[in-house]
Amino acid sequence: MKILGIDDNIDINELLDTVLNGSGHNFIYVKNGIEGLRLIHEKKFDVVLLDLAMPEFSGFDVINSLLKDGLLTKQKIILFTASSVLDSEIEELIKKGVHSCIRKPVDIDLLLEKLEQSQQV
Amino acid sequence: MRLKLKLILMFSIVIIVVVLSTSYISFKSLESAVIDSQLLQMGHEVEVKANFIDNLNARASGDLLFAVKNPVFVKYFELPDTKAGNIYKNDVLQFTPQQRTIKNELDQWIYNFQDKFSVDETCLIDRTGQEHTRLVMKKIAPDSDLSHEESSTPFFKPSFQKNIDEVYLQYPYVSPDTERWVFAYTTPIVLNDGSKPAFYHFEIPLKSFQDITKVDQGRAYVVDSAGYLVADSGHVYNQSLNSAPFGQSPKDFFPSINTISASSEFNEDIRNILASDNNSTNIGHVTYSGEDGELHYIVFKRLPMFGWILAYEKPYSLMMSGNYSLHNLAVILFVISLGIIAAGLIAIYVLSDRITRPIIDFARECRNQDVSNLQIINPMGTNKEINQVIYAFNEMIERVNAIEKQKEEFASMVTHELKSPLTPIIGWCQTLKNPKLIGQLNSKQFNAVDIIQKNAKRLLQLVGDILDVQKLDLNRMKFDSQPIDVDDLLNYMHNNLQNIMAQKNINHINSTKEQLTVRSDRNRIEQVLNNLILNAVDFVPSEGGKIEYGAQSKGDEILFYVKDNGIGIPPEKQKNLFRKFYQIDTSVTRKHGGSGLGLALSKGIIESLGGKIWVESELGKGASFYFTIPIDRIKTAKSEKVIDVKDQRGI
Repeated sequence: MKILGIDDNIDINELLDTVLNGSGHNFIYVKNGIEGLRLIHEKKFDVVLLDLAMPEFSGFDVINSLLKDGLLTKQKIILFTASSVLDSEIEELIKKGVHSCIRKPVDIDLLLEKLEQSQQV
Repeated sequence: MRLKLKLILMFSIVIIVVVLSTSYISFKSLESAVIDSQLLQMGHEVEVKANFIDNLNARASGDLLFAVKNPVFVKYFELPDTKAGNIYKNDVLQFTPQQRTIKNELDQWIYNFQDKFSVDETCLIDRTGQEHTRLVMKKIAPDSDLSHEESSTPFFKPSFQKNIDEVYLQYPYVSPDTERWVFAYTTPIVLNDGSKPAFYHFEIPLKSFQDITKVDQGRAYVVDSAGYLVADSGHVYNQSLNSAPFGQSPKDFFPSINTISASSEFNEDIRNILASDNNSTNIGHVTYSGEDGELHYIVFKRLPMFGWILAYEKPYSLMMSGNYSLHNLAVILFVISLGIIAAGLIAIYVLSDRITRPIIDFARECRNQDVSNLQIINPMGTNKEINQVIYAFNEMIERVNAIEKQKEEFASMVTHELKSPLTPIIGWCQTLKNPKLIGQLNSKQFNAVDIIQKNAKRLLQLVGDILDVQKLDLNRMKFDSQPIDVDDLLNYMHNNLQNIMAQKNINHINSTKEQLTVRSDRNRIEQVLNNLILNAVDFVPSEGGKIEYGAQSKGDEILFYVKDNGIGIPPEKQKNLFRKFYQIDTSVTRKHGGSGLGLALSKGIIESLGGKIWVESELGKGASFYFTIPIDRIKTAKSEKVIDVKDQRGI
């Protein structure tokens, strides 16, 4: 799978790089939302791993931008969030077009599972 | 007391007092003006009457003097026969022919006089007390009737003390001739040589004097210094009497002053008037309270005649009667007063309402504020002062909101910062353990990574607990409200717990028998169940440990339970069980990564969700933990908020 990671934390990005690329996926990452949007507009990805809490341009901003451009449903978005977002709030985002959400700290096994799921629908 | 009530009460009192006192003052002013004008009028009447009396007196005197101006009087007494003295035969006075002639002339003159000027009786009395002529009601008395005992009359001596053209007025007495009360006027006959051989005397009835006191309204009377009424418009004097002439005491004929009024105040007034300055003939006023309950006004004047007091009185009602302007004023004032009072009360009610309503509305707005979402309040009404308060309040809210926002941002930053490192730590551990990604580790390396991962997980749990507790404390924890399939939840948990239960050789059972749904926060309920079950894991025996958990319906709540067959919890330790940092056995919990916060957190969560949590246990007989969740949280949502804040302070 072609996977894009958008997260301001280098350690997480490097971890995902090792895990995902080591598992046979094609994973690249960027550190802020604006760059991420640019890439989304340019290329096509199967999955986007999006961190919600980023400075300046947050994951919410990315989602809203994609929503406006109608690109939200063109790729599967899996959200990472450290805060205790309520299930109902996640439901809202899923209704808008997001695929799912993983709470931080990210469980690697769970992530790989969710990636599988995203391609099955 | 409420401000509104205070304002209304105060101003109502002020308005009523002002209006009533103004009305009263204006009424009283007009009343006293009316009274003054009445008194003036009465004063005029008294003057008029006094003048009448003076005239009566003057006229009588004038008539008398006119009568004696006729030279026939002197002629008679100049006669040598008269000068020689009286001659009697059989007790009857004898007249010589010369005397007779003059006497006839005299009688004729007096007859004409009586005809012209109405007097009751006229007579001529000489120094010896002998009448020489007498006419009563125009009847000439025969010689035999001429009395010679006139020297004993009260007017005898005083008459001779007068000179020519002087008149003596005798105090009223009963006339022997007419048998009624009369005044007597006398004047001496004075000869050329200055001797006074006789005096002329006539009587006029007292009635003509008394008639002067007649009035249309009120009562007029004349008071003698001895305290009886010689004239009274309110009394009918019995004019014909059978009693001894001269001998009748005035007290028997004239009514006492007390017949006007028996009040002591009246008595005192009259006494004062009688006793006062004898020379003053000015008009005076005095009042007294009558027995009829009314105030009586007396206007009086001292008469030159015997020092009598002429008085004219009216009661208050008579003074006011016919005075429509006063009555109209009273009505007008009454209507206006009512109008002003009503208008004033309405105005003050409206005004106080306008002042206090914004205050009450503002207070209500403050109370209705959602503490976690303070909003600014809009200005109310037109009161600058209230709006000042509102602006100050809004400023405060904005400052509080700013602080809260800061706190929230800080809190979420902290959360983020604390948890971020754990992703790479745990993640890399997982990755290291996966031979496909990095390569096989030897057993020592694998062990090391495992230990790192376990500790990172424990740290994660701790951080999570601390952050949760802080959130509950600040009332900042958000809860979901979704329908939950209890069965599904418990099965999911059962699966997740398989590993650890198998490791510890614990027999765990989901003993739920019913199909239950509840509307609440699934993650948080899972958190609490996890907490209770993992606690139980630490306390069951290493062999034959058994943990039973599940749910059952209980009215409008679901009852969840976690029961273990561990060592149990003694009662004295039960009461502090749900408090922060409380640990039954520090060695046990520390070993297993407990922070002492688990149960406190569970209690906070359950109570925020509208339920209750408690334990039932005995030493040596295991422990059973229960908690309830209302089936539909929304119905109890409002009251929860209050419970949250109060209870968590006590954790």
